[in-house]
Amino acid sequence: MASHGISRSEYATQSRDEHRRAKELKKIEEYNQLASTVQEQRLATEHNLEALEGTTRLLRLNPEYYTIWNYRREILQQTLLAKHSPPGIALSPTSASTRTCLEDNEANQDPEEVATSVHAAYTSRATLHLKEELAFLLPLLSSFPKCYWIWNHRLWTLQRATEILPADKAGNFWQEELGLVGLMLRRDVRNFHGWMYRRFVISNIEFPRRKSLSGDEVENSSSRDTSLVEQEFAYTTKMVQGVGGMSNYSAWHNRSKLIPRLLSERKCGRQERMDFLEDELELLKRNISTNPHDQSLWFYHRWLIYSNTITPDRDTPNAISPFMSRGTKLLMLAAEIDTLQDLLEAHAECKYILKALVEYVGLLQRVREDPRDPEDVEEEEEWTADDEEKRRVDRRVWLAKLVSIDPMRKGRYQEILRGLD
Amino acid sequence: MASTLLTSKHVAYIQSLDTKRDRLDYHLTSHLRLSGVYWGLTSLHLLNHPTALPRSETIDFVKSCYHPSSGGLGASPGHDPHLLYTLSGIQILATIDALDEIDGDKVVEYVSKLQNPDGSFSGDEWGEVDSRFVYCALSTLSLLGRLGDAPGVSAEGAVGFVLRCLNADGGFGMAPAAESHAGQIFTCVGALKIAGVFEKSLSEDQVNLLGDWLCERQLPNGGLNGRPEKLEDVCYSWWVLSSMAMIGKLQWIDREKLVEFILSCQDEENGGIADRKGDVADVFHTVFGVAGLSLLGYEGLKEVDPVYCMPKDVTDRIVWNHRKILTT
Repeated sequence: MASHGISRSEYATQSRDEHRRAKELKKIEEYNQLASTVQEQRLATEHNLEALEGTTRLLRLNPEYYTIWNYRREILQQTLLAKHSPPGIALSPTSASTRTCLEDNEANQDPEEVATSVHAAYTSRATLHLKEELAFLLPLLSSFPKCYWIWNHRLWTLQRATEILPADKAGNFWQEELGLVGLMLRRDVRNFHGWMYRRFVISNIEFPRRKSLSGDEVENSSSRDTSLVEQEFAYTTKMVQGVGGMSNYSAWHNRSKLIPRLLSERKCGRQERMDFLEDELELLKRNISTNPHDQSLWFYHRWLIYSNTITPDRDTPNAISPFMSRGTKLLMLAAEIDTLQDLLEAHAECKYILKALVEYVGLLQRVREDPRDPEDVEEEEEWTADDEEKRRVDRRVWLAKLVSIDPMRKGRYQEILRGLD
Repeated sequence: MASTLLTSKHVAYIQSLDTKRDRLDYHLTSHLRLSGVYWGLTSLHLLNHPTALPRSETIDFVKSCYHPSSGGLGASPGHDPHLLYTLSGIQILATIDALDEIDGDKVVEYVSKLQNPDGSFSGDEWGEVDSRFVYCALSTLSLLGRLGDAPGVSAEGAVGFVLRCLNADGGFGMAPAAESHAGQIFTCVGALKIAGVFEKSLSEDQVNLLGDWLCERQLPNGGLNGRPEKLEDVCYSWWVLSSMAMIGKLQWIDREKLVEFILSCQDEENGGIADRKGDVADVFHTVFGVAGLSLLGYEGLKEVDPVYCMPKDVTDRIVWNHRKILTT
């Protein structure tokens, strides 16, 4: 009903093959039988291990069947992953042997000790079942890395760990999960479920008591004892430097989201922020001169330039260097424009260089029109009407070139051209 | 390669979908069925064959997916309610002018219970949060004429959440800090349009950045991708294009090349449109291909509403002609 990348000719060949068709009909029968059994058990609100096994089999055949994931969670909440209950109430049939042993103990020991040992037994059992659940999900996630429901269920399982285990034990689960998400992102460096999930996992390690799924900070998470922002920033550095990493817009994007927090946690002053910005620009310059046709680099470059020139909101600074004076901004823009013009000589047909030039010269003009900063003591080169006219001519020439080398987007370029008149 | 839209083939293809019970795919996709009906029905309306699916059976099917206890709809009978399918059900009933067949108050109740304190919506009681679900909620409420007066719903909160999903590249992600993605852009821009606050929420710079990000989705073969450095796919003919239409920048891409690309993905023998040329067609890519062509003004198609992905005459009748702009 919503298939991707299945070849029509292959599908047609399969459809003509009678042996395969017979097999398919048999599969349909088996699948439907299993599905109706599981649905019937659900209607009868059966929350036991046999029903759980039914969901395991069904979800392996069809992990998109979201209702069955819901049923699985209902069962788990009542059985293997139920919250700790007082002694005497069975957690599950498999725990029968443990229970007998506990009952024997009860006769001879003091009640407090009994409670402690019961709780320890519960914790180790629950830990085991949580691990089993995660192990069930792993191969499914490898086969269906874009299936929302599997990612959701995995997250639910980890959140369940937070709910039913002592904090240190639950923390181990989140820590180990980072390893898995790293593995998934190595296999598909752009999987946006993977990146999203990574941010969830990180925030759960940073704020262990957090429950909100929406990425918003929860009130009571005041104790930021384990910020991972340095580690995550280093991770994006590693990602963009790996093979093909330069084109990894997901990594560049994550980097842009981490930097404001990174700088604030490093308690960077003005000069350190300026230095950081220069280093980022230098990194981009190296990458862009290697491959000026890579969109990912240009989007990141544009973020660096825009967020640091168009007056950012000083209360929530997203800029790397939010307190740059007008003069410094002009110098930075002029330097970037020079670099791009040099690059253009080597790559005259590269539309991205031309686009950036058109934009940054426009920005330069806007910054120039900003009121002069009283504390700005830097000498400014003189700017005449002739200079301004020359810049306008430059932009017209670049835009005309863009219309000819990138005709698909000529509507965009013509709109800017009209704005210059 | 087909150079025109094979309307009658597509109509026959959509009509045949419910007869393919001898194929495993049919059974493995029951978790999508109600959305499948919405995709098929919308395609048929845009293709000017609005009565090609039997009306009363369609209504019966929608009702069979309804959960009277919660007010939500599932994907098929026996499947749990979810915002995704609740929206599909309401879209179907709105399109065939049958909204009175369902208890609107109860549906509103279902939707409103899924809003979280931070303004976001969960997809169902299990709590998955995604900016898509804000769209589903606001679209459902507005089609029911209840956007301004749904008890317990904060449209301002929903808008606030959507704006926290806005990125510096002009796009939107599935949650705050998530990478921009064309599908999420459609839902976030759509949500802001439905709430009537798009124009005052984004600056001219932000709209230009968004438009630029979107027009760069067009690849040399004319097709559109959903993120930088990814492959083209017919469904982005909708997610990208509808967003461009909503911000008034359709002219920033090459219309002819995109039309040619969509037409090349048709199954000339059996009808339907695939994700790419030569692949198996499905109803999901069929509706987004046809709707894309409609936005591009392709001859003979009914006008589609870029905000709702429904026939424009339907949304005019239900929403736009008597809407109350929210005061935020």
